[in-house]
Amino acid sequence: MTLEIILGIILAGLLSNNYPLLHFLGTGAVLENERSNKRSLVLGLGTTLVMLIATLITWPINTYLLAKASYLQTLVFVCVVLVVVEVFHLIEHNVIEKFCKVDFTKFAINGAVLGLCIHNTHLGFVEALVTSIGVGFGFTVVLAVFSALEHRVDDDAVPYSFRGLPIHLLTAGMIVLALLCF
Amino acid sequence: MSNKIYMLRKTPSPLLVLAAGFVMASSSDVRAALAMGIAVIVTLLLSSIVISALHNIIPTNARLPIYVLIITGFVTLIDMLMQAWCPVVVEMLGVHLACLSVSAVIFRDADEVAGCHGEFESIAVSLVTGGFLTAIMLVCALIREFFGNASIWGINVGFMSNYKISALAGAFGGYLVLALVLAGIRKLGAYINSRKENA
Repeated sequence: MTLEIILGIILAGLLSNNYPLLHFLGTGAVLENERSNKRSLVLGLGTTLVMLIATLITWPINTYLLAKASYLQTLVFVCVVLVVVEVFHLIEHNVIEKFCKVDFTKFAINGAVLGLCIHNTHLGFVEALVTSIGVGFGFTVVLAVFSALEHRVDDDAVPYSFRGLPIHLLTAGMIVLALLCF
Repeated sequence: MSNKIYMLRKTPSPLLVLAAGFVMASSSDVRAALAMGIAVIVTLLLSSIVISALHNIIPTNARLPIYVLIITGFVTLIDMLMQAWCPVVVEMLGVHLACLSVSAVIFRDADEVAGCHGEFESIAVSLVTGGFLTAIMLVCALIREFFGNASIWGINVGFMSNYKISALAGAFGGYLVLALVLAGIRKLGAYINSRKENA
């Protein structure tokens, strides 16, 4: 795998393979935007790390253990994600609590992490790891964008019916239109 | 119980924020929306019953993993049943059906309602939540499939084939239609409230 391909996969994770915006995975976590940019960055990078470690564990499990028991995939993957998030939270508890006061365990267990683990089973091992980094960066960027958006949208200028979630969804739709160009 | 249900009806936005992912993902086709709606209702119901029956013996510190595992068990069961009965729909839903197991909506219901209240209360709230989400998904799916694919339930609507807006069938359509439906609900709510105040 060349550097060009690696950069291509990471760029795709940010743009054309953006999970929260284009695949609707982890969208709920992103739209719950009551956090500052700094908190969003910490949460996003933490989730990226969880994605990477979860892929590191789930890919071999799926390839070598679940070959004849694919019906257990969701159950096993959820267990792995739960363990990774809990262990990560225990180790990095102080750092995360210092930067953000949200419950990281509830945040990190989202559709993007599980969906990525399932999607990655169709890829090679190294490709899966690089994809998880790219998707994690994409998730972080979208999280930061929506946090910034929350502070910039002037609710008074928006018709009553569109205030709050509808205007955020419309803005997300605009971003999706831009991303579809890639 | 009535307060919870009343709040849910009055403010659907927080619920839809958490459910936005699978609502938009499954609303490109009416069949997918219906299947996802049934999956959500069944998962909510079964997990609520089990969790409300067990909440006294589940340690507080281990609540999150145990609730998620219970929900995942039911999602796996539904996934297997759907694969046996309607594999086409499972293919349409893709990874989103599996991702129901970590859906914040189902976990929130398990945590806030089933984890503190009795079975009957949990069942009522689950039915209201699931029914509301299914209705939203079906409305969005009808609009997106009719105007985006010029079809309903997979059957082509001849006169629309020249006027379809393909963008509505894609990701952009998901955001646009959900925003419009939500704004419509809010407008309707405001209209009903104003009628009540005038009367």
